[in-house]
Amino acid sequence: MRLALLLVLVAAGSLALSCLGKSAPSTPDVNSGRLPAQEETTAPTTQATPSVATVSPVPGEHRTKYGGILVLANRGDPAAGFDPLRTSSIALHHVGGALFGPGNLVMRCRENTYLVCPYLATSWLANPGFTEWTFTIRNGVYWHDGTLFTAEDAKFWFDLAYFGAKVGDKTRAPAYFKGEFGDVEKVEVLEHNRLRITFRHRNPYFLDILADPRFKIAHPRHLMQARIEKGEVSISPLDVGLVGLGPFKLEAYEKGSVVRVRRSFQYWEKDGESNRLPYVDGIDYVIMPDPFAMDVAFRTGRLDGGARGQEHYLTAERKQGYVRDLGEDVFFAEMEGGNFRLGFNVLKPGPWQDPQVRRAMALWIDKRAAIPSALGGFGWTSPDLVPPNIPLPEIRTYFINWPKFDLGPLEEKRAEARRLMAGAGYADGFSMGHLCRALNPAPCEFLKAQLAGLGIDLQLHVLDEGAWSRARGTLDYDSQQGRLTPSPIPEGTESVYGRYGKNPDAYAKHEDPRVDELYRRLREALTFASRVEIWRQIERYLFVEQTYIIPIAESIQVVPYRAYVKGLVIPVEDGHTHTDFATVWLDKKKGGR
Amino acid sequence: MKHHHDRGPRFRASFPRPLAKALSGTWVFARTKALIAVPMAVLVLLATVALFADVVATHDPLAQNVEQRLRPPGPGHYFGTDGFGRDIFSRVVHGARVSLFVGFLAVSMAAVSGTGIGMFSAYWGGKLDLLVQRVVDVLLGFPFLVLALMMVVALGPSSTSVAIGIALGLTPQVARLSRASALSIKEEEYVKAAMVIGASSYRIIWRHLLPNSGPPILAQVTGYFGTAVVAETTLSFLGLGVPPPFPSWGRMLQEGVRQYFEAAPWATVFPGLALSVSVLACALLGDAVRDLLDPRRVQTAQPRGQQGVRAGHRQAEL
Repeated sequence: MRLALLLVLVAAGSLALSCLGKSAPSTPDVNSGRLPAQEETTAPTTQATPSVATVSPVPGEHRTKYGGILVLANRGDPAAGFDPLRTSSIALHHVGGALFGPGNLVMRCRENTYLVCPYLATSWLANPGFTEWTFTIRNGVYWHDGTLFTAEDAKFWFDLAYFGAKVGDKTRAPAYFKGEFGDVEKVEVLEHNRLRITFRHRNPYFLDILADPRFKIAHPRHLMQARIEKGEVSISPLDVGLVGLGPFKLEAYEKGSVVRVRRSFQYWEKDGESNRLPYVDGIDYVIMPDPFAMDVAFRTGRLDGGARGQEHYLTAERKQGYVRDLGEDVFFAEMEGGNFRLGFNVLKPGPWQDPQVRRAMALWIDKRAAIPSALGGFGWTSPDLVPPNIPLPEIRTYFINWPKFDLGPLEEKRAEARRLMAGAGYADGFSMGHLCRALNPAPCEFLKAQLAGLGIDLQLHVLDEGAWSRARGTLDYDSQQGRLTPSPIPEGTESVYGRYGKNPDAYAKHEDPRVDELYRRLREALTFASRVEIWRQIERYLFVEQTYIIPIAESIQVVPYRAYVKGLVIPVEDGHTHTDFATVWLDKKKGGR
Repeated sequence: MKHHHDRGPRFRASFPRPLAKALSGTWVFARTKALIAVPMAVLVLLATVALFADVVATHDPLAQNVEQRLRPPGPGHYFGTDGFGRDIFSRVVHGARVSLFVGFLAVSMAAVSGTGIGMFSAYWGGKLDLLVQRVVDVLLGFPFLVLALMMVVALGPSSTSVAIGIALGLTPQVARLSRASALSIKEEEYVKAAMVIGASSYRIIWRHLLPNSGPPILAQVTGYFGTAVVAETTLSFLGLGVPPPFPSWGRMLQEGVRQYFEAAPWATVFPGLALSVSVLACALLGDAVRDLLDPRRVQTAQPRGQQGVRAGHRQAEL
């Protein structure tokens, strides 16, 4: 009887909360250290922090308006046939949010991007051991061609992402982020439009990892499955007409020119006043590979918003020009943009295999100099230097992997670096290759000049985007750098810092079983305090004792928007988040464009 | 006095006789052939700067100084500094080395290979000529820069691969010109005479076709030098030239335009100015060399009274 009553209450609660578009905790509350209750839930989860996403300025105005076309710059043509399983390129995800939606079964909450909200699932349930996660798929969600979205579609996407596909001798590789999902054993469709994912090992933070905005569902089963079974294993969303689930559907894509998306009237999401999203009639993404062209177009009134992506994020000098020309007609979305870091391939023979040598380099680099030179003038090297307009929640002070090490006097650190190099037998330095992205060579130039002082001749291998993407997953280079924002929870950083055998996309290439062990212990931590403690051990091991990676400086991404662009969700970190622009509305005055 | 000035200043009083004679001759040349002398002087100056870049540069072109970033031109940094605090004057000077080296190497390769291909194609004619010219047609069908770009992508970014890419783009043009020139010379009496007396093909090409085709090819190739410098700059601007951080004018232009055009226009202006001056010098020199070597243009430059005589003489020769 009590069980029946409980079920009725849970069902009623779920229904009510799902209507509100909110859900209740099911993953551990990391602030309190409590583990989640095991009942089915549908409210924001994880970190009960104050609101940490901001919305573009709406002084005294809260009445949204429908209509208008939002014109945004895009850094380039979306890569890999618009396939989010293949690339995290912002050129895709800036457009992909509108087409495919801001999440998958779950998403980062709009009010607080450190919370997990329901998206295509209305609720979820984990078993006590966190080895089974069951999602209830939302009813009334349609693909842009009018086909209903079901649990079968979700299973198809999970299978494609985690297992890939194999037809005869043709193989489709799993998604590049497969490792972040954990050890998936199987994905099953249950009755009542539910999906169950079973893991071999405990996976209590699966929801937070799943909420990564890069993991978009862009693969309609009804259009792709048959073609894959016929052998077209490499089929991409572009090949099937970019039929998505997001608030906007494709109207036209002119390669090298523009991607036009228009409001999907079947989109299910509503705002707090039950108004249907999105507000704008459509978005035109103008392909602008040149940041200077973007600046000119924006400042002359041809764009409502800038592109996202390195080189296109504003530098301090370019921002000054915007402010001078446009004054209050422009505002800037400022987001924490990930850590600029140097990673070593210790699986390739060379002096950098010696931890002393890597440590010497970490001590030698003038990290503060990286901010103006390599990061466009926006960034910080120490928690106490975080700008006040980046409201990092308290939880991030525990888990953010900023370069908080080695911030003592530079002269002392450099003396120690020389001593370590001499001790390792490399007092005269050596030559080391470095993988460099042609799109943004400034960080490479910075590192080359820095390490030259230690006698290290950094040989830059400048590669275009395709070659760079391929090369960074191989063992052919000596070192590389990156600025990817890892997951805001430490469990989600394994794909960046973990062992090569499990994480080929990691910046540092090592096969250190100790790192595996530390991440395993982290996942199995039962209290918040022990979780923090293990993360501290991981940090110290990765960044100091072994120095597989040298964290240099934390970057800030700055994107300009016209002041009449309202309702924009500006995440505290990671420009990939909430690129759906469903909540954006245009408050243009009469006579405006 | 006026008479002396026309012949040049009095160098004899100040210099030893051979040097004075050379200087005097140079002075007269500069006054009478200013259109050649001025661009040539500019190019010689640029070549000297490029050759002695280590001496001319005031700073290490790669040395970064974050405290000095984006400083305007001044006594410490004649052309200002860039976003890394690097001295732009030193980078322009070292960039000249890259641009001129690539330009020279590309034009030399194109001249040698294009002339060779054109000569042999013209001399042997027949199916070989037909085949070679169709290949040349295909290569000419590609835009010059696209061809260069493809080569650089295939070979990877380095000054040598850039030069090879540019040379590949220029070779068909030189080949076409040298073939046309060789075809007309091949029909000359003295060439036929050489054939009749049993001169080898190699000897005929080397002793007759090549020297007599030289002037038009030389004039054209001189003009191509500027094209090659611009192509190198363009490839560098697109990120396909000499890899960073080594300075090249194109990369400096790209960095300046993309990130600092408003805040630090000197980062764009000075490499742009260096490029403009060198390309203008090449273009002027090419025009002047063509005028100098083109007999028809020489005729039009003659006093009216002599034109008929010269033209008539040429017709009689033909």
